Amino acid sequence: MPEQIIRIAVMSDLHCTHEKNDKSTYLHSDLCDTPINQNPIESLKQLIEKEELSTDILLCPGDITDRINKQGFVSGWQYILSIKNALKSKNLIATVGNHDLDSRGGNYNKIGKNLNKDYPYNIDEFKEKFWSQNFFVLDLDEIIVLVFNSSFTHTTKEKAEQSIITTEILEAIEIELTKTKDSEKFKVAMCHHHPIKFSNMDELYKDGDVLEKGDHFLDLLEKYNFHLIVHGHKHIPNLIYRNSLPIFCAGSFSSLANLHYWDKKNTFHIIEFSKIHKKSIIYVNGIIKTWEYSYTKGWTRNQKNVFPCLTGFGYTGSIDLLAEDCANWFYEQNMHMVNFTELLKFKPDVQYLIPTYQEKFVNFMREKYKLQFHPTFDNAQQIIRIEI
Amino acid sequence: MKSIFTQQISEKDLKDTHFDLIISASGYETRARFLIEKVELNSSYKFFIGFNNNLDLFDRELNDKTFINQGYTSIMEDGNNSSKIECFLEDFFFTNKQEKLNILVDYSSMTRIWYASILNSIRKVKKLKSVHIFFSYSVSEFASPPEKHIFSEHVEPVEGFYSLSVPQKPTALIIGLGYEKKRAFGLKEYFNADRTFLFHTDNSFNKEYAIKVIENNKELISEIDPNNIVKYPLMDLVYTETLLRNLCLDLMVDFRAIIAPCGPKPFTLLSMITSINYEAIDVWRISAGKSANPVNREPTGDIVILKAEINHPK
Amino acid sequence: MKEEENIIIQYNTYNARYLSFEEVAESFIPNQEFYKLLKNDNSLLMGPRGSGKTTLMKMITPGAIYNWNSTEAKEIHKEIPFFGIYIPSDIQWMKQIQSLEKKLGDNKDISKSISRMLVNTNILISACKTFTHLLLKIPIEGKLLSKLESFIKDLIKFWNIPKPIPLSIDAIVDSLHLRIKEVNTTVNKIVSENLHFNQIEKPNYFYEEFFDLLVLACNSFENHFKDLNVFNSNYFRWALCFDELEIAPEWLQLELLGFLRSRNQKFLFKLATTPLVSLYDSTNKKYFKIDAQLDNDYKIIRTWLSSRTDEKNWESFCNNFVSSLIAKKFNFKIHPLEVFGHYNDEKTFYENEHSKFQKAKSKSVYEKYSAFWIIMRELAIKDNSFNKFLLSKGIRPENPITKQKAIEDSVLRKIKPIVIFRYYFKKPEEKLRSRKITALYYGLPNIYHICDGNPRTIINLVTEIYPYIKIKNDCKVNEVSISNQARVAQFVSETNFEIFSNHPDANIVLNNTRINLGEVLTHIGKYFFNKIVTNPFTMDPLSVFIIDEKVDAQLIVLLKFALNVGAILHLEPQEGLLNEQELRNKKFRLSYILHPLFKLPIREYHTINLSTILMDFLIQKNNIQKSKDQFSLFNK
Repeated sequence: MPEQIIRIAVMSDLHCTHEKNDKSTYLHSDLCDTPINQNPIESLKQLIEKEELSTDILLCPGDITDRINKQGFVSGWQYILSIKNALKSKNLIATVGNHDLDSRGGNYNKIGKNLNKDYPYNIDEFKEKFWSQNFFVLDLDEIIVLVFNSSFTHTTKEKAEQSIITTEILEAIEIELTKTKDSEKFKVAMCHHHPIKFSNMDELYKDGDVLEKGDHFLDLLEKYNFHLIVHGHKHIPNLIYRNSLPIFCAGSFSSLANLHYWDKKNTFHIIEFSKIHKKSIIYVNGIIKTWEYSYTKGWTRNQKNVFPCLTGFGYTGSIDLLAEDCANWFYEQNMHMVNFTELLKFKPDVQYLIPTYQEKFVNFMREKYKLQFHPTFDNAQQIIRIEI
Repeated sequence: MKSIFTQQISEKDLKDTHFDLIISASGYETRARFLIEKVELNSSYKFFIGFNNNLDLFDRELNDKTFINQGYTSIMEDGNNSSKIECFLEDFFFTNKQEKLNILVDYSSMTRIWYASILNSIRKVKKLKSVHIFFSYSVSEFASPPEKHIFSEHVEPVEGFYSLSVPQKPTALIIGLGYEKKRAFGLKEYFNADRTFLFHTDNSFNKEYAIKVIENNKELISEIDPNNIVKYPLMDLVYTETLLRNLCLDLMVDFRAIIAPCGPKPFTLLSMITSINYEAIDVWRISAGKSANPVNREPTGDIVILKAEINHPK
Repeated sequence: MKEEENIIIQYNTYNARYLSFEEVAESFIPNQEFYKLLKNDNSLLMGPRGSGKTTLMKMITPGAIYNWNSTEAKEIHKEIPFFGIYIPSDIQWMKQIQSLEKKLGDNKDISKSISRMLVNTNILISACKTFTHLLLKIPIEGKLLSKLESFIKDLIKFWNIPKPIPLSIDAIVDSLHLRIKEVNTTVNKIVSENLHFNQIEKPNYFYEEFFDLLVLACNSFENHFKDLNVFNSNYFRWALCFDELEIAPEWLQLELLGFLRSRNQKFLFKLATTPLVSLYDSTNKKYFKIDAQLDNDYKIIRTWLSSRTDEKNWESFCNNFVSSLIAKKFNFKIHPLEVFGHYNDEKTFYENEHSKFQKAKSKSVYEKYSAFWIIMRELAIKDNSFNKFLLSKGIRPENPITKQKAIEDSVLRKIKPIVIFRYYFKKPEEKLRSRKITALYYGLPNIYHICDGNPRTIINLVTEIYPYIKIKNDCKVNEVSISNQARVAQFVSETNFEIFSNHPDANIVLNNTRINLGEVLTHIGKYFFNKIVTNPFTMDPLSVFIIDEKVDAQLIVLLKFALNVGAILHLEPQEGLLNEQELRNKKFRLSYILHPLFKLPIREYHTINLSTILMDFLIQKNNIQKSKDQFSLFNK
C-alpha cells in the first residue's frame, strides 16, 4: 500500500473569451443561461459533486484567456477559482500562457499582473518573484512545485513566436532547487510551453514554439529528482518520458483550436501521486485519471478517444518482462478469465504505464501471450484468454 | 483517420482556384445564378442541372440563359431523382485521367437528393488520389415559411449515407430543425428514439429565420432536455461540423444515430460529411409528399463555401 | 460501458424499448397480460403502439425478471417455465433493409440473403444477452469457470465464430457485430462494382438458419449448467420473444407465425405485434395461412380493453402503477385518488354554478335536488328534444324523478352521460357554448378510462399532472383542480392526435386527393359529437363505426395504420386473429384518448357505417380537388 498520496487536478488552456462569435472555444464569459452540460465549468462542478472528487492542488498551466481578451481573462480566472473551491483544493497554482500576455500592446504583462491578487499564486512573495524572475519554487507540506513562465519573452509580436528558458533563469532555479535537493517530498514542475519537441499532427505546420533550452531545463529537473513536469500549449494531451522524467501535456480544457480537425476532445485530469519505500529506496508513481468533455454530455470518463481514461507513470522497466511475468501468473491460475484487480494485486506496476507503454504491453499480451484485457486496458475489468 | 477534411474558405479562394468541373443548378430561384454572376470562376468543364418542372416560373428562363451564356452545358432532372446526374458523373470520371481534381458544386438551388448523389458519386471514385470539392451556398433573403402545415410523408435513409445495422442499440435522433411548421414533429415517436437532439441556427445567420424556427417547433423543443438542444452558427460551418461530429462520436458508442436534417441546406451537407466520416451514422430524408408553393429566393449577397478534401484510404 | 447502463428516462416520454432490463424491472407493475404471457405456451401479444408490449416482453427475460423485487416476484422466479430471449426490432432497421431492397432492385436473392443474415445476427446477439443474464446468477469460479469456458467454446464452434477470439460472450457479440460491418462492405462492393451476388465469396453465415443455431447454443447451455440449483432443471425451456413483429421483414413475420405450430418442445414463441397481423406473402403474391390452431397451438393476449373485466383490471393496474410513479417522483406514497379525486356531477358544476348546485350536496344521484336532477330540469328548458324525450318516458321535465327503479336503471342511468354533455355544451336556442377545456374529464376512474389501456399514455398524463401536485406540511396532497386535470387531459389528447396525424404513414391519396388521418379522425369525432350534443336528443346516440363494404380500400390502409397506432380500437375482438383482409364489417371506435379533443363521453353507444359518417367529408374533399383541377386547367 502506498505510504503517501497526493492528488493534483490539472485544467489547462481554457481560452476563455468574451467574444460571442469566437467559436474556437467552448468557454465564454457569459455562459450563465447555458444548459449545464454545454457549460464546461458547471458540468465539471456537477461531476465533482456527483463523484465526490477532491484534490490537494489545482494546477493551471496557462492560456486562461484567448488572445488576451480581458473579460475572458477575468471570467476564466473566476471559473478556475470556482473549480478550486469545488475540489476543496488547498492550493491553486497557475502560470502564464502566450494568450495571457499582450504581446501586441506594449506593456505585455500588465493585465496578468493586475488580474487578481491570487494570480498566479496567492502569496505576494511568490507573485513578485514570478513577475520579476519568471519562476518560483513553492515548498509545500508534501510537495515542491516549480513554476516557470515560459512566455516571459513575449513582449512583441515577433518575440511571441518563440519561448525560451535562459541560462540565467536555469541558474537561478538551480540555486533554489539546491535547497530542496535532499527533500523526500513529491516534486512537480509546471510551465506553459512544451520543453521537448512535440510535432503537430498535420504536415502543414512545423513545431516552432518548443521551449528553447528545454532540454537543459529537463536535465535540471532530472538532476533534482523531479517526478513530473506538466505543461499546456499543445491542445492534445500526451504523456512521455525523457529518460525517466515523465512529461505530461495536459491538453486543453475548453479550446477547440487544433482539436476538431483530429477528432480530439477537451480534457480535465486528476493526477494521483503515491510513494512507497522499499528498503532504502523511495518509489514515486502516479496514475492519471482523465475526463473528456462533450458539448451535450458534459464530462465523462469512459472511452479511449483522446487519451486513456486511466494511465500512469513511474514504471520504466522492461515491458516485455512485465508482460511475461503477468502472462506466467495468469496461466498459473489455470482459468480462462481472471479479474483485473487480481492482476493488479500481483503486479501493481501495471498501473504505472504511460500510454505508449500501455499499448506495447497490451500488444505483447495479445500477440505473444494470447491474453486480452476486457473491455479495454484503460478500463479493464477482466483479463481473458484468447482461443486460437 | 477521417475520410473528409473540411475548411471554410472565402470567395477570393474560389477566384484563385482552377476547377476541373463546376456543377450548378438552375431552377426558379434568383440565387441560382448568383455565384456565377458574382465570382469570376475559372474551369475546364461546367454544367448545370435544370429542374424539369416550373420551366417558366420566376427567374427560371433568366437563370438558364445566364448559365448557357457562360458556357455551361445542361442536363434536365426531376428534383427527386438523380440517375442522370450519376450517369453524367460516371462518364466524366471515366474519361478523366487526372488523379487530383478540384470540383465546385453550387448547391444553393439543388435538392438534397442532387447534392447527396453528387457527393456520393465523387467519393466513390477510387482511382482519384485526392479530390477537393468546393461546396458553395448563396444565402437567401428570409421568406416566410408556408402557413399551411405540410405533412412529412417520406422518411427514409439518404442513398449512400446509411449503413445496415441490427437493432441491438437504441436509436438516437439528431434533428436539424427547419422553419416549416411541425416538419420535425412526431419524428421522435416515429423512430421510438431513445435520445433526441435538436440543432437549430443561432441569431448570427438570420434573426427572423432563427425566431421562426423556434416558434414553429415549440412543441418539440419543449419536450427535449435543454442539454440536448444545440444552437449552431450557420455561417461557421467548421464549428457547426465540430459540434455535430463530436455529438456523433459520443453517440456511436451506445446508440445507432440518425441525423434528420429538416433545416438549411448547409446543415444537410454537414450531416452527409459527418456520415462519410463515421459510417455508422445515418442521414435520413424527411420530406413532404407534395411540395409547398414555390417561393423565389433572392440572394443576400453572402456566400458560404466549404472546401472538402476527400482522401481515399491507402 | 455496457449499453444497458447509464440510460436516463427522457423528458416527458417513456419508452420501454431501450430501458435496460433492470430498469424495466425496477418500475414494473404486473397486469393480467403479464401472467398470461408467463404461461408455458406460444403466444401472440397484441396491442397498439405504447400499450406496454415491450415492457411485458422484456419482463419475461432473465435480465428483468430476476431483477424484479416484489412479493409476487419470488414465486414467479421459482415457477417461470422458460428463459426468455428478447429479440428487438425497430423502424430504423426495417427502413434500412427496405432501402437496401430498393437499391438492389430486381436482385431479390441478395436482399433476402442479407436480410436473413441480419435477422440471424440480431437473434444470436439477443441469445448472448440472455446467457449473460443467466450467468450473472452464478458465482463463476473454480469448476464453474471451466464449464463457462467450455460453453463459450461451444458457441464459437456452433456459430462459426472466427478465431482467434477471447473466451468471453462479449467477444462473441463483438464478432457478430463485425459481421454487420462485413455485410456493409459486401453491399458497397455489389453496388459500386455492379457485381452479381454469385460473384462474391460469401461466408457461411449467409446460409445459416437461426433456429438451428439457437437450438445448439441453448442445448449446450443446458448441458453445462442444468445441475445448478439456481436453475430449475424441470423448466429448461426457452422462449423466443420477438418484439414489434409488424416491422420485422415480411419473410420473418410469416415464418414466425408458422412456428406457432409447435416446432420443438424446448422452444416457445412469444410474438408481440400491433392489433393487425399482416398475412400477405408478397413473394408468392398470396395470403399466408396459419397452420397453428388458436388456443391449441397458441394463445392471443390483447393489451387493449375489450370487456368490463378488462376495464376493472385496468383500473386496478392503474391504481398501483400511478401510485408507484408518484412515489418515485415525490418519494412519497399516496393513493392516486388523493390526487385525482372521484368524478362527481355535482362537483363538476358546483365550481362555476355553485348557487345553482348548492342544494345538491349530499343528495343521492337520482333524488330531487340532486345535481343530475337540476341538470335534467335545466336541460329540458333549453333543449326541446330532451323535454319531449322525458315526457315520452313518463318523466315530468320540471321534476325529473321517477319512483320506478326500472326506469331509473333503464333510462336515467343510461342517459346520464349524454344529458351531462348536452347540458355542458348547450346554450338556449340550439346554440353551443365554446369551451376551450372540457371540465368533464377529471377524477377517477375517468382519467384511467381516457388512457384506454395504454400505459404510455397514463405515464404522459401523470407526468403532466406532476407540476400541479403539492405536498402539504401534514404529508397530504392537494386534489388537483378539475380545470387543471381537464387541461392536462386535453393536452395529452391533442398531443396524441398530433402524433397520429403527423406520422409519415398517416396520409393516403384517394381520387387524386391527399387525405390525412387527422382529417378523418376529426370528421368522425365531430360526427359523433353532433349525434350526442347537437342533434335531437336520443337515448341511443352513436359512437361506434363499422368499416362497411362501401369504404374505399385506400381508406382502409389509413384505418389499418390508425388501428396499429391506437387511434382507433377494434371492439369485440374475441373472434380470433384480426388480419388485414378481414377489417370489413368489424366494429371500431375512436380511442378514448381522443375523446377530450372531440368532446365525447367515455362510453360506447350505437353503431353506424363508416361510409355514412365520411360521406360528406369525401364529397367535400372531392369538390375541392375538382375546383383545383378546374383552376389549373384554366391557368393552362
